[in-house]
Amino acid sequence: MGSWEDRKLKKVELCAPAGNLPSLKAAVDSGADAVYLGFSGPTNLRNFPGLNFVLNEVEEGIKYAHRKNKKIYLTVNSYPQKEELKRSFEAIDCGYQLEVDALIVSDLALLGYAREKYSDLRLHVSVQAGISNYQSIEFYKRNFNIKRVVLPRILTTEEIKELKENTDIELEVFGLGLLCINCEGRCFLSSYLTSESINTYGACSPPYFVKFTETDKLRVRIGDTLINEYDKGKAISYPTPCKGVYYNKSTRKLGASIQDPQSLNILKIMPQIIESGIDALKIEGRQRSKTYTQKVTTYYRKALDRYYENPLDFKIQEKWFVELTKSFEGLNFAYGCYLKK
Amino acid sequence: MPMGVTSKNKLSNILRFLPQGIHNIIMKILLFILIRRNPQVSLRLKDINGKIFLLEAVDINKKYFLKIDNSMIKVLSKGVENPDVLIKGSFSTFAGFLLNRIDPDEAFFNRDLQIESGLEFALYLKNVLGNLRG
Repeated sequence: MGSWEDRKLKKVELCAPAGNLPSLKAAVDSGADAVYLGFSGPTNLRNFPGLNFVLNEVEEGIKYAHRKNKKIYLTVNSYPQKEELKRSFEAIDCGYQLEVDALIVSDLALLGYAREKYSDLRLHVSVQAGISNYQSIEFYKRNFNIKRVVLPRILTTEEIKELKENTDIELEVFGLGLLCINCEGRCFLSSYLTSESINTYGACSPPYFVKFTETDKLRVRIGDTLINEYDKGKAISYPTPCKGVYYNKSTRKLGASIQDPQSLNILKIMPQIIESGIDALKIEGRQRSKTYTQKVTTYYRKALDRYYENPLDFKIQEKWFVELTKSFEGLNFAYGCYLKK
Repeated sequence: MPMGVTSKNKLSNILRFLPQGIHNIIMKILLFILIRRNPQVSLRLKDINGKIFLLEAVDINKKYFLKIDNSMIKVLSKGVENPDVLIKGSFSTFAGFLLNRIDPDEAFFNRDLQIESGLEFALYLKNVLGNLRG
């Protein structure tokens, strides 16, 4: 809560992704205020082979970030089932011992564990919890003393404003990244095609289910299901079930029946997003390289700084937008639900 | 024609005419230096021990067979028939990837890198090499 004048004094935090130590350092050096990361394995989403951190790398990353007055958030945001629960508890224990600045969690058991065992550990609720009204935010605050909520990509700026007027919990939103089907924590499309759920395994369309076959066209399958065909040389995206091209029985046409393949980029509407009252802006992409992290963090830092220099005359360089577009699957950018649903 | 393009073409011509054996030696040295400077990469390779990667530099018509052996990346002097992973791209794309100068995902989306088989292991290698600190 608080007036817009009050909030202007506290600048929006830029939160960048890291899937490895070089990316973490690049994010810190490129202007991120905080970096979020996860341990290798299924304790967090983005469980891709060979990705993410081991213990000593998190330790080194925290030292590096803290030396430069930046924060590190540990993501433990999958929904572990019985056999994985212990591993997630251990991840929380390690995070606390290593002195991460906050834990990003979605599962109630993990929130309960963290709060009970570490009363001084700052807790953020992950986007995976899909919190979209202030009554839910107050529930998490009352029961787990959370400090921040990462909002799902289903709210308009007007709705975010309304949330902010009703709670003193910090709000974080996504600024750049994939636009998924917008039911974070509740998507089961991957389970349907592969038997692995993003919510428990930590990645939709795990790579060992993905097959590319190139003859006259490039055909992409997840498991046995053909989800897309591309003409030779045409830009492609990482295959996920929601972006697949399917036959629609009612229109009798092939098309992106579930979701158009677009990515989110709020660079051009940054003032509206900031003025909705958010506290942090998140860039997606822990699975991406150091080069990506460096580039996107740099442009978002520049845009934020430019906004705070002169909020009434915010302009970005077209080059920033063009460069960011190149990084995202050769597809179009969109504003998601921020301006209208 | 811009100077950069001319120089790149000249380099491509030189690389094309160098015998595969010389290429393998250069690749061996490059990988040795990179892995030695980044021991954490070696530790992460153990999960794909035994896998064979074929990197095909289509612009210079050269093939690099790499085997993950005992947590090291070895360059094979002789090719194998069915490698676990086949990745095609230009020499400069592969070099940029190894030297952490290009974003491999961006190259993949734009089809500058084409993964023709073994996506799981290709992603593994990409993610492990993402830890290279130069």
